[in-house]
Amino acid sequence: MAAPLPEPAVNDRVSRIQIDRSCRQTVVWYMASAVFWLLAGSVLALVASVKMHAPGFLADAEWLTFGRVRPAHLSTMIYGWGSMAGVGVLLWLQARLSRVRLPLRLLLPVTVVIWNLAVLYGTVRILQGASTGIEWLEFPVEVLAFIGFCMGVIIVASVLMFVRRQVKHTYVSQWYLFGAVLWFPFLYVLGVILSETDAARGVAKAAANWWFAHNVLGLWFTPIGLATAYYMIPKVIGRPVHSYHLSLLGFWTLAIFYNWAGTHHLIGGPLPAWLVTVGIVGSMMMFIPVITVAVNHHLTMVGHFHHLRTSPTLRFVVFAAMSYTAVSFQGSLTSLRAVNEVSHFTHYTIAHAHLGVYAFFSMMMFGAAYYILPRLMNVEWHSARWIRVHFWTTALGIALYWVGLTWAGWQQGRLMNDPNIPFLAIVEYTKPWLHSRSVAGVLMAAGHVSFAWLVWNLIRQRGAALIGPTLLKRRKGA
Amino acid sequence: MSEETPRQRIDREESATPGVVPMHHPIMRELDEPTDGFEPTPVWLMLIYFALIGWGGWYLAMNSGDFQVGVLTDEMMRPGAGLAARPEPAPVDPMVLGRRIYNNCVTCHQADGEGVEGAFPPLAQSEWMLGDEETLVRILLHGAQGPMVVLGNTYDSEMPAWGQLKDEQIAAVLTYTRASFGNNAPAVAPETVARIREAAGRRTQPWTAAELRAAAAP
Amino acid sequence: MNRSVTIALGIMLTVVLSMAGLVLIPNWQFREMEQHKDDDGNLWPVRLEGAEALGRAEYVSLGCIYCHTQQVRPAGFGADIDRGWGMRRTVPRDYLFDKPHQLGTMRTGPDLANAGARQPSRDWHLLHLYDPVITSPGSTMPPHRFLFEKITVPDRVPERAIRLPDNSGWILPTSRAEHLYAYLRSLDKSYELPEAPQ
Repeated sequence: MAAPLPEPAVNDRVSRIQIDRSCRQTVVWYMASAVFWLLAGSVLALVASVKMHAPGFLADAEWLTFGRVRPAHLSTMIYGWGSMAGVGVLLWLQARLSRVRLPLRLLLPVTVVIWNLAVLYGTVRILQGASTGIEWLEFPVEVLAFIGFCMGVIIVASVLMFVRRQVKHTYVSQWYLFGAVLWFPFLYVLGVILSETDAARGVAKAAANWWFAHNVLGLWFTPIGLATAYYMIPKVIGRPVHSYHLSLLGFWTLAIFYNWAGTHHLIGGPLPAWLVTVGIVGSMMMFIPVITVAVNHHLTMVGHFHHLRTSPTLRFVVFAAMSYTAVSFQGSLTSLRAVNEVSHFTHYTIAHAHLGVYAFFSMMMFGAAYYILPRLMNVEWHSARWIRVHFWTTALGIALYWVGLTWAGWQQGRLMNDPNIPFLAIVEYTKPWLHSRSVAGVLMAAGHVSFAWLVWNLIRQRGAALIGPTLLKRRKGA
Repeated sequence: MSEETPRQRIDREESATPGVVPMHHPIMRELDEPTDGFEPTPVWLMLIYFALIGWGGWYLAMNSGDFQVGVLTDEMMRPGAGLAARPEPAPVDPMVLGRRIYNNCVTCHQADGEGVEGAFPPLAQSEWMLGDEETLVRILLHGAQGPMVVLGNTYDSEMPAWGQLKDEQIAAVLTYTRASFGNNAPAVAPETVARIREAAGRRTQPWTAAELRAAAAP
Repeated sequence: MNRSVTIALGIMLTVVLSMAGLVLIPNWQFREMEQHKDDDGNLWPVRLEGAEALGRAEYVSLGCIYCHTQQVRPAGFGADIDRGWGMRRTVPRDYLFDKPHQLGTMRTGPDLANAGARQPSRDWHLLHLYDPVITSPGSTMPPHRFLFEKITVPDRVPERAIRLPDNSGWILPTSRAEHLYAYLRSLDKSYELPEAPQ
């Protein structure tokens, strides 16, 4: 017979049932909507990618011209897929870690509907030509009111959970989640005001633009992604996070340094030298939180890497965590003037952005979804094979994407800095690599379809109510 | 017997209680919520961080142009350098300079100097390019318009004026185009450009083919 | 309140500080920036009006920024000036009236800060917009045929129409195409500013 469980653990387990039930509606809706936008964003991405090497493709439909499909792709991915998945994960993690049930259970599902309508409206308006023309803020300004309202409700729910938390010790993920939920709405509102109105003059608008855009990654996606990693890694392998001291050091140095990095997007641009230099120093200081988090995660994982063979969650999360280290190192080095002189204005930057938003954040959200959704639906994933397909298509897809465009971009930058090479020769040089990007895009889109198929079956309760978790391979002796 | 890991405990509990109702499994199978360890921060890591922060302070001090709004370029970023540090451009070989300026021309005349059939005339082997240098200088300074016959084909497009370029630049691009794409005509001197510019006075009208022929007539 | 307020204040302080440092302080430094009056009494940069302003809206709406920048980096940093993209670097004052800013981050196509100075030809721009490979073989820029009307009947060709070089007909630009050309033609930073000599 099983030994009786110690008292706190029993309570913990019972409270988990209640917490998961309280989250079910809101979090499943947020995640399912995110998957829908992931598919929509993938279609837009493929159209845009093909147009890069075959400009005649769908060229006579004005609403599908490259300059509209590309921002529509970015906006659906950032505000549809990334942010909605992020909100779902954020609410669930905060409830679990605070040991309280999700509050505002009537209002939160309403925000899912509003958020979806806002993204749909914004995307259609971009395709119609009503983009604001500011990168990362292309949605017409009225979308701010709707997403702002949703974020308001989410802040209240999140803060209520944090304030009412039933544990004395604040777990590291809670710091990041609390930060993310306070930072993003502030950034969004101020980003719109400072870059779209006359509150800032001339190129100060551009500084505001990149302060905002870089912080969407730095102070919204990154903290949610790191909170997920900090939760999932110890949860799956069953040992504590290596060091709380490192966790806190990592959090506060991220909070202090990351938001100064944005002006590295304007190196060489028409701005005072000091403003750009501050952005470079902020980017270089990012080595501190990044090394800290990497050391902390690695020392937690050491001796447990064999779980990567079995756990889908861990496999995605560890891939994402390693990508975070990679993308941050790359980002810091790219901000140096000597590197940026070549890499600026090229496909290199596009590859870098996808390493961050995709290889880090999106893969992290996939890993989180594999863990969270079965618990909310009380049903297991119906097929380990489809999970394997999802992992390998997306992992190989983003690898091919990054390698091809980084190389192409670096060469493009070198050729562009040689005034004796005609511009059209550079265009010709990049074409094969733009094809490789389309192939990578098809791979990733295939992975997204597998993922959507799994989620669809899970929501339809098609999977068996399995006794154990869905594993990629059977554990020995189980 | 070695200590049981949490993972093993869950596995053992799962196999030991086969009769438990399935609704308990989703929570029984997962480990307890994660906790923090409290290993000390390595000293070597802190040393690296202090070094990095030191570099950041130095870089900021050295590249911020005293935080003045007017300081933009690399040469002016050093502390105390101010606006006096603006560099003087070094002279460039006319063929190199000409090839660079020709980057402005490739949109019409193309990188190989062959132009676009029916729209923009070729420079390669063109009788205009190999002919009178003063005519070419006039076209560059004030542009040209109306029908022009080049290598037996008539073109009717507008050649923009490039009078905003310096004399050396106009001379260089003509020198380059007259010696490229298989062309083999002598170089054009900046002094020639200066003389024609002077003679044209405040002319703003583009030239027509007839006017050019008249101006070139001795 | 178990330190929640303190933590929240700390978290907000970080982002407020960076907003002040990266946006508000430079904005305050730009407070006295205004047009420059040259020796002939002209004011630079010019505030766009009419067709040029309408064309700028088309430029934004069609998403030109995703492949074209509008900034010239200084000599010695990249080859922007050597490539002929401008006679001088661009400076904050050049963008005094730009709203939304279109500095851009990608050069799939060339920089356009001086597009009008480098290539003033109406025929060229309109042919290039209609189908870029006509003027630039191998270009990957999307054709904007939807901004034109094609005419194949020779006896009904308006003055404004442009003959296609392959003799397949004429293209008649819509007012949107004309506005876009007017804007591209206006992209000319060959005026001199005291802080940016050529």
